[in-house]
Amino acid sequence: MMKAHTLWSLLLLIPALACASEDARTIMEKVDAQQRAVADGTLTRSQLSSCKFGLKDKAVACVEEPRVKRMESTSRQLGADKKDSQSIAILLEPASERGIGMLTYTYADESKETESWLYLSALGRVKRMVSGAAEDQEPVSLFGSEFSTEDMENGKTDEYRYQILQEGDYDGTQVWVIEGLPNEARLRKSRYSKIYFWIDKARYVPLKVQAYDKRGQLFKRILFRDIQQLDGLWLARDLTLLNVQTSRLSTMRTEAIALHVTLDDDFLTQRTLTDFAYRERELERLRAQFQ
Amino acid sequence: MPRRGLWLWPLGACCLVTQVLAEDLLGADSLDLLAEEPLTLAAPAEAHEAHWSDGLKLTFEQSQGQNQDATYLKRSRLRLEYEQGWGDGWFVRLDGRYTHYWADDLQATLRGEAYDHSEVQELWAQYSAGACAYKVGKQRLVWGVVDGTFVVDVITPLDYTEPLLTDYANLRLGQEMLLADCFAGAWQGQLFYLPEARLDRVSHSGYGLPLDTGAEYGARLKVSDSLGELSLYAAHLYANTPTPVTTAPGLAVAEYDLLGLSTTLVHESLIGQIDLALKPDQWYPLSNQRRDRLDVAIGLEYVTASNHNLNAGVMWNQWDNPPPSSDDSSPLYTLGWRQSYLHDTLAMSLLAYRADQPRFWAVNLLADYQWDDHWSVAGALGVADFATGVTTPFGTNERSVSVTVTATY
Repeated sequence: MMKAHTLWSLLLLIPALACASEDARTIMEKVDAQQRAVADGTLTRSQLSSCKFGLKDKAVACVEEPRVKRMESTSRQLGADKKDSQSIAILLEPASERGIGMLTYTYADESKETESWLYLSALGRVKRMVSGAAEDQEPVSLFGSEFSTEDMENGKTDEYRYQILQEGDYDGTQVWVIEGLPNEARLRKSRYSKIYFWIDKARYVPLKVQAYDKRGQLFKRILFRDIQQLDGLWLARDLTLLNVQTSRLSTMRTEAIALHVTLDDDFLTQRTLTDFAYRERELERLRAQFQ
Repeated sequence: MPRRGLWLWPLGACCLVTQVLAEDLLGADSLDLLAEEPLTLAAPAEAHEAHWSDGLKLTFEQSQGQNQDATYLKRSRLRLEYEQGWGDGWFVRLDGRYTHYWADDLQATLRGEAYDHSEVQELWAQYSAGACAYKVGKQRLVWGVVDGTFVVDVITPLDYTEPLLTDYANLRLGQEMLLADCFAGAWQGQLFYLPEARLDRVSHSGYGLPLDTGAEYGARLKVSDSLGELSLYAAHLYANTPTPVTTAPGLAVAEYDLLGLSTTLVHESLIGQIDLALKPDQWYPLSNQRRDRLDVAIGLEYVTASNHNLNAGVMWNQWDNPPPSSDDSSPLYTLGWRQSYLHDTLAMSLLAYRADQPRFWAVNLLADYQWDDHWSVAGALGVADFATGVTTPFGTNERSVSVTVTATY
């Protein structure tokens, strides 16, 4: 009788765990779908600030003059599931780096490498870069900030196993706390061994993300603030990343954003890196749609 | 045990598992509490309205260079740059410099006195309409893919009076040119015309000889895809460097038609590059004979797991039927390394060259530190060994060690 009970219990436990796991994946796919929708036909002007941080009156604050960069970026999603992406980022400030532009194509298909081109005024030409996403290669920093290319990716949910760890009230908002464990291929090119996501149950946006290094130690914490709804999509206009191992933080503040803009077919090509007149004309047209 | 308990047990166990795994995950800690504005020291982000002065940049540079014998570089420079989109489809750029060469700078020593020199490096307007862009004015045009070699990168001449720090653009001389680029997806077509070709600059006094050049023109066709890129070139050109010949006036400039090809192939962290150019009718050094020449450069770039950029290259040329008793020129080998440190504020690089005929090698370690948004300091430590008699931009030392520092505000 006891054996029968145990067997029944185990049989019932399996679908219960599977159900939780499937729910976690569904939630993360909804979150990812919303992030991809935000990135599909978008122009953003952002300020990226970085500094060393400390605790001041029990709150995190900069303890040195932050380095500030401003940039404009445009992106669109492509492919059957809109999981491929094309983006271009152009630095506006500081003046010494003004005009540096980077064009990137990424693919959901793991067998296709990321393609990147950089226009360097020092070289006077467009240079093809290595993907930065090859196996065993560390993700690179985004313009010297604590954000890395890995932190900015979307469309990669297939490369993780998810489970809900907890749900309840977090800072006045009902959340799921979900753990993401990378699969073997992702683990090779990631700096993270696991990621925790605090997902707002009502809006399907992360409120907090915590990433752990390969030794299981807390590495980075990202806080999402100033969450707004634009064109029916929820997005955070203020992201603060705390690198707890180096005590440095970076804040990415969206100064202006235009969603669902129509991009010229040539805009996300190498033409935009060198045809400055074309780039400025198209950006001026898109800037008129800033929200 | 009641039957209902059996049904609830798996769910309870599941919750127990998650409770254990998710210890205190809903509580806030000190790192969750950001100051009202964590970047309180930052300039506040203001609503930004475009202004004509956004594109203006004024910098001051002070450079000092020393080798084991003497000061070879001591100059002060004011540089004005302006770039801005104008109207619908227009873009303009200006890069002008005013330099004072102090008495112990090598260029002033050659002239016999301190002097000032002003130069407009770039002044162009670009207009974009439909699939094409047109650019007219003083500008630079760079062809080719293998860094540090000049197989097809031969349109824009070099300024050997400038020290090589981290910005190759400093070494290039702008030329009056009309450039047209047309784009169609992955394809790019390019045409250029310039009425009078300039030569490499070795001093502000020129070569002291009558060296006439004429118009240059050419075309490039480029296609890109996920595997890499391919460019084909055809151009009518003048050599940038005069060749020593045995008849008066002692230097000659070749006029020739170039046919070239460049390709880049990418595989994960490795990039392979090839530049190839057929240059007919070149002056053979120290002779009065002209021969066809094939120039080839092959480069490899590799990015390590920790993002160190390593590159290596080899460049050589092959003369068609070289004159008897002529010395074969040997390949030029290059080796480089590049990495950023301190959150991208310190860029370090190393460049090394080596050739056997004429024999020389040179190693330059370069560093560029961005102190803040205004101040930057660049330094170069160079070690070189040249065969006796080989003239370099810095003199004719057989062996030299040099240090160059430039501060920019």
